[in-house]
Amino acid sequence: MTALVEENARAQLRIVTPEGVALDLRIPDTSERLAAFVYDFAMVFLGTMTIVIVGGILAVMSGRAGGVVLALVVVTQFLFFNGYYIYFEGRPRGATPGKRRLGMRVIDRRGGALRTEQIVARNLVRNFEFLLPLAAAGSYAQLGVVDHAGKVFFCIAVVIACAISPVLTRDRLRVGDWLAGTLVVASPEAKLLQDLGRARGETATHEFSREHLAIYGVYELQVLEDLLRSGSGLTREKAEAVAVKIRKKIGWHDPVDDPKLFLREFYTAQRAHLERELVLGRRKESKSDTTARS
Amino acid sequence: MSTTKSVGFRRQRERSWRELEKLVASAEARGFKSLPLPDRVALPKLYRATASALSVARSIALDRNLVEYLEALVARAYCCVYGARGSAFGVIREFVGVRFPVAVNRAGRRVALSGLVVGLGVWLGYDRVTNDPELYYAFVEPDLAAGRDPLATTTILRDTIYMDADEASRSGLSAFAAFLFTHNSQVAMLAFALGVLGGVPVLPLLFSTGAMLGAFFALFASRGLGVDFAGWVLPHGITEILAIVLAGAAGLELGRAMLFPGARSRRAALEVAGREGAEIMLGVVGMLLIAGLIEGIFRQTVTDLGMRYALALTTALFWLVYFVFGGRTGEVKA
Repeated sequence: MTALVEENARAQLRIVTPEGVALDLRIPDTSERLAAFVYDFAMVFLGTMTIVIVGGILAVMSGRAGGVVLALVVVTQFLFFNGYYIYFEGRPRGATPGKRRLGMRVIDRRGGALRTEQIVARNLVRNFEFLLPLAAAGSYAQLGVVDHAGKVFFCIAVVIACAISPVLTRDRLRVGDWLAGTLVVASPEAKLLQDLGRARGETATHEFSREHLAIYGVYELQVLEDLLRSGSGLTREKAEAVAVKIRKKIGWHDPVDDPKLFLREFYTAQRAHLERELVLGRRKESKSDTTARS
Repeated sequence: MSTTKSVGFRRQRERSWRELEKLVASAEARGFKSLPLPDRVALPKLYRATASALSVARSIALDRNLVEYLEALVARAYCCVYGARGSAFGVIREFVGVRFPVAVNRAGRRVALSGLVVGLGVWLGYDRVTNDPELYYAFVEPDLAAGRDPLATTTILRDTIYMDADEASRSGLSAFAAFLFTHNSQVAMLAFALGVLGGVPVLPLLFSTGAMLGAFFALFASRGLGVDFAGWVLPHGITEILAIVLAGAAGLELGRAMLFPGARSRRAALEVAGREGAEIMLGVVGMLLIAGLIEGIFRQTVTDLGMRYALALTTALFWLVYFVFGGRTGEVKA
């Protein structure tokens, strides 16, 4: 199943689902990718160290068969390093623990099903982006930095080029993503909060007229929504200050006893008004938008 | 006050959104296919209902939290519905039974080229070192020789071939075998990855790998140990060399996409080649594992020359049958 994909200039990917609904998936920042990378790398490093230490102890204990145990250790840690990413990204969530923690997942760039070989491709390439050149640089450096300066430089250049490729490409593509046709997107788990538009009682304390509600637009409404949802962040003083500003702007002259209640009811009334207008095809973006005025 | 339109809209549908949220969470945790049947039926229905609710919400609701919630929920559900894959076991069975041999067959000509280059390398390495033993050092990396060089006595060389498990273990040869396994995997992966650089570096890599093998053979043959060496290297070597040849073929495919993308954009061509190449590479890693197992288990325990050749012949026949007949009956799911 492939969906129509439109890529726009902003850091997001638009997938149009077969149902015709456009979904804008945000492309995470480089810093988020880096944080996930560090997290996963720490996990892999710890796991590898555990394997080596436990294996080492076992090898010493098993005496004559120690060589076989050591061989198993080398194979196990090789499989662990490559398997960690492939296993977790191959699971339905499509994210390593680090990516999951930062609210990201891997998807197919065309919006279709993410296939196993894509996951394998994007992760095997990691060896060449990062680990092999570093190891090679290290071994050349041991042989003598001066004699092998060119090779060391080349290896480090490869690592740097691969490391900055997510910064340079619009979709934050790692070389592995590029090859595998995958993409890392933000996968937020949004919470459905209480509906602020619901009138609390049967009768509202403040009744707003059409004129009162004709001032502000969608932008201001949503700023107010954020403010009301900020919970304990909305102190009485803050509410008071905002209420005063609004009252002045819309021309509300009656006294206000409870500024929080005033803001709540103003939000409810303003949203109801703007949504009614929306149905009539008039969308007022902000207070300075005069085109939609009836 | 009359209820706002979006409030009523939300009140009517909220329960189904919550239900979808729950189903998506368990599908993400355990996989869509492992959900109970009623849930598997319900999830796509709820997804479609919620997707259309999102469209409506975008046009009538000014509650930002609501729209953001629906966007996130629909995106997650979309991945569950359209990104669903089979069980892990089914994926493996389909891969081994169909996808891998089909991918190798599709890359047939490149496999032939890659094999030819390795073969040329073997021939050249053998020919040069037979004529001039000093050239051995030009072909073989000292790390990999582990003392098997022209300075070694014939006895030492014979020992490396016929050592039993105990001695091998004491001399660290098992660990060396494991090192060889990771080394060969790296060569294979390098052969694939170098494809991005236009495929040109793939050929020297394949060639030098072949040359190294040829040089080894020349060294042992010069002491009259040629037959014994072949018996030592072939049981696992056939699988291993085949794996490297296949990896080289995948790398060449990438190189072709890079240099001659045809009607597609370079990026699109690379993407297709990368996918097909990755399919081969996944199988290559499996083959290298098998080779490693053969090497680890049989190389030191089976010292009878006839048995070694029988084993080598068996692996050769197995791969021949597998790649020629594998995937013929199955269908590749797109």
